[in-house]
Amino acid sequence: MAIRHVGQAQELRVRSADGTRLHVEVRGPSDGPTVVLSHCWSTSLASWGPVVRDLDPDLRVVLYDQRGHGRSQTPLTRAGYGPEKLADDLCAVLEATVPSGRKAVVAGHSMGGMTIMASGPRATFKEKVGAVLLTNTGCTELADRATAIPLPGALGRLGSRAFLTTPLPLGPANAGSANVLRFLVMGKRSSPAAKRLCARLVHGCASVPRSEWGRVITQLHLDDSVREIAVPTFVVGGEEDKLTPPWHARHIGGLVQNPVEVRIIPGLGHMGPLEAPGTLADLLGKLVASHIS
Amino acid sequence: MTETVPHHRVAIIGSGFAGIGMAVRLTQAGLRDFVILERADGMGGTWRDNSYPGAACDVPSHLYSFSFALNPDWSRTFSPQPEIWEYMKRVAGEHGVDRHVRYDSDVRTARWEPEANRWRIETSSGTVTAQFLVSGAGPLADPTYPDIKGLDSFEGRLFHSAEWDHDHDLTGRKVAVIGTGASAIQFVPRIQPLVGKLSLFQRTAPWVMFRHDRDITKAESWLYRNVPGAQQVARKSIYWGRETYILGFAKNPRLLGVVERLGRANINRSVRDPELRRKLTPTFRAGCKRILMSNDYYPALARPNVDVVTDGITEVRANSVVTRDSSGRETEHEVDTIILGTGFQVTDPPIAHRVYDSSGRSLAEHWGSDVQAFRGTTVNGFPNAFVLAGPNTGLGHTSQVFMIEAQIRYTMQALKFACKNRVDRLEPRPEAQRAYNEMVHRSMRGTVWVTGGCDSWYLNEQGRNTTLWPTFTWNFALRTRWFDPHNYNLRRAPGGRRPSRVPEGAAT
Repeated sequence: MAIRHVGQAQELRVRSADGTRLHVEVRGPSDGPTVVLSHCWSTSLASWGPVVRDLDPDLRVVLYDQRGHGRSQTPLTRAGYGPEKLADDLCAVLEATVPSGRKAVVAGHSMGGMTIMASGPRATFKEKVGAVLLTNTGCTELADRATAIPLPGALGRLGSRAFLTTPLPLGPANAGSANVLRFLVMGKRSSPAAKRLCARLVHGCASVPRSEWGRVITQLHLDDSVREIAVPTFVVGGEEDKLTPPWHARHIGGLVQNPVEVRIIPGLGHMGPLEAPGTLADLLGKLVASHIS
Repeated sequence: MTETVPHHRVAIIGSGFAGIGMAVRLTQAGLRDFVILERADGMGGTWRDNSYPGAACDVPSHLYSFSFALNPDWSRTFSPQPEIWEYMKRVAGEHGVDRHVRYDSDVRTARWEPEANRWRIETSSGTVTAQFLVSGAGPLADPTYPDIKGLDSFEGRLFHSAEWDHDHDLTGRKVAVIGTGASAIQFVPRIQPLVGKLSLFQRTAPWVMFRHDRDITKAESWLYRNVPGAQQVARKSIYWGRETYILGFAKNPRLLGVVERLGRANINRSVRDPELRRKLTPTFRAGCKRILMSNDYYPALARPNVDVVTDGITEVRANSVVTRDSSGRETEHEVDTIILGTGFQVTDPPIAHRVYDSSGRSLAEHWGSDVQAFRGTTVNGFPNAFVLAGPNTGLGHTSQVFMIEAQIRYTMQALKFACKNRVDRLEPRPEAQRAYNEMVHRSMRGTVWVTGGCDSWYLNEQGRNTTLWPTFTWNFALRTRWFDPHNYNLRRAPGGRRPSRVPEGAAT
């Protein structure tokens, strides 16, 4: 097991286009091929931790906190939230961390995937990205297709919307909320450790930015922008994913110009990087080997 | 040679709180055809320029910020200048305001062209025209240099606090600080430990209160980020707490005796020397001049390397400042650096000398020394122009941003009215402006600013207070809540349908 990536992070502060300060961590050898990881809604860069631990130590890993999450600044106004801002942030991170003339593999989980899909048309993205891995993500109809709230029809859709947009303060993580979260976002056979980590991450996210981002997610329509992604794209879906059911993975696979594969993993819920870190690390390694080395 | 002059719907002068706030509101209303004319190479106005050591706001940050952009991450109750400046840049950035800014464009003249129904604005980077002109130039924009004999013959380093020379190392220097206003009391405690000798030249001692400045706790910050509305509650509490100050300032100045007792206690706490205590104790009613807040000002003055000089300055020589005491004896104070903490050109704002009506009269000439506007915002004779932070909108007790936002709301209402009713020119009626200003000056009677027995920067040459709003700020917010077309001369856009809500005979 390669765990050398842990504990040797170089921390950067990167300014996004609108001045928002982002917390970025770079791990691994400075001359290695670069992998940029973008995390999901309501967690932080730590949600990629299990995957990073499994990655080839020769890779240079770039992690960053999305705005409003972790140690990045929280937008001051509603205008600071939106898919364009996600794309601004990713492009700022790519500019700051990917050496000129080199390309990186970018991977995004859930909202991190939406970030990558929103960045499709950007010049920086086209210049710096060699391959894409999307896991448990969607680009449209997110509240409508979610099945997390077990209510029929319109009630279920309203429930998903409320789940995404309600700024409910969560307080400290506890066993009860861990079980609720497991039910909502993870596969049935998730390990207790993954379950606890998930609860800790979600409770660590402030509820006001969480609800603002939730609102953005419910209104997301990125189909046109996904069609602009021309680099090889690997799409992963979870069979038991109730927030972004496998429909999304197949939908994205049909939009990108160069789909490598759409893989639906049995037993996987929404938290790919926590539930199947080995698989994702493996896929990342293969994308690096075949597209940017 | 013909050149194409860019035309905009709205031109905004300045990119401080007023300029950024106006631009954000225009953007939110869907109007993108505007330009911000900024004389420097970056946004931020007063909060960009005043980078002296210790610069901070003296209204709690939760209130001293935009109502639409509360910041859960303020580090302190009274945040320092770098944080406020960054806050402003972030608000502007999130709304894409920076795309509209024309930097290095110092407005030289703005002239109203009635035939073309537009303002022609000459700037240091070329000319623009605009249908509406919004001045966000602000009263604390241009430093005042005192008229002291020989000031330009001084051979050491001399600078104003608003143009702080950060490259000039003050360590071990003999420094003269002229002025004891809001800026000086902030930077004096910061430079005192560095300098060899500090001579503080004081004309009038200010009232200085204890400042409850502390770090914002993690718990508070958590609350603001997790409970929607929590920060609004904090903000409103500060707002209403501050509004009660008006009871003393404007309604019953005798209440300010309490403030004076606190001020004396603040002096006695830090200063042992009875002579220095006497020098530092003000002789006028608290509140007449701006009440200042600092915990470290008096302790700094009590240090042995500080000399508080209350004698008047007669001249500045190559390496010294000369004062004369009441018996006519001159003293020469040897210095190698002079820092001016002498404030800003408030009652005679330079922007008024650059804005001209259709007949070529400047706003400054039009005003004379009696600076006035309708609802603090519009001026008869200057159609389609709005002055943010204009006459009688200043404050001594609470957040200026609150007043600026009220004015912005009023300006937006006026612009929306014009658009909806196809009005292309609006100008306040002289009688409305007169009545409004009579009301303001009636309210001013009996307030501490005119009865407190001091000469402050709030007053013009005739001793009229043309700077401050004389009563509660919610009163101003209500007066500017809705646009009032009956107080305006309006002109319908050629070819437009008749305005629906314009009173009979209002169109000129």
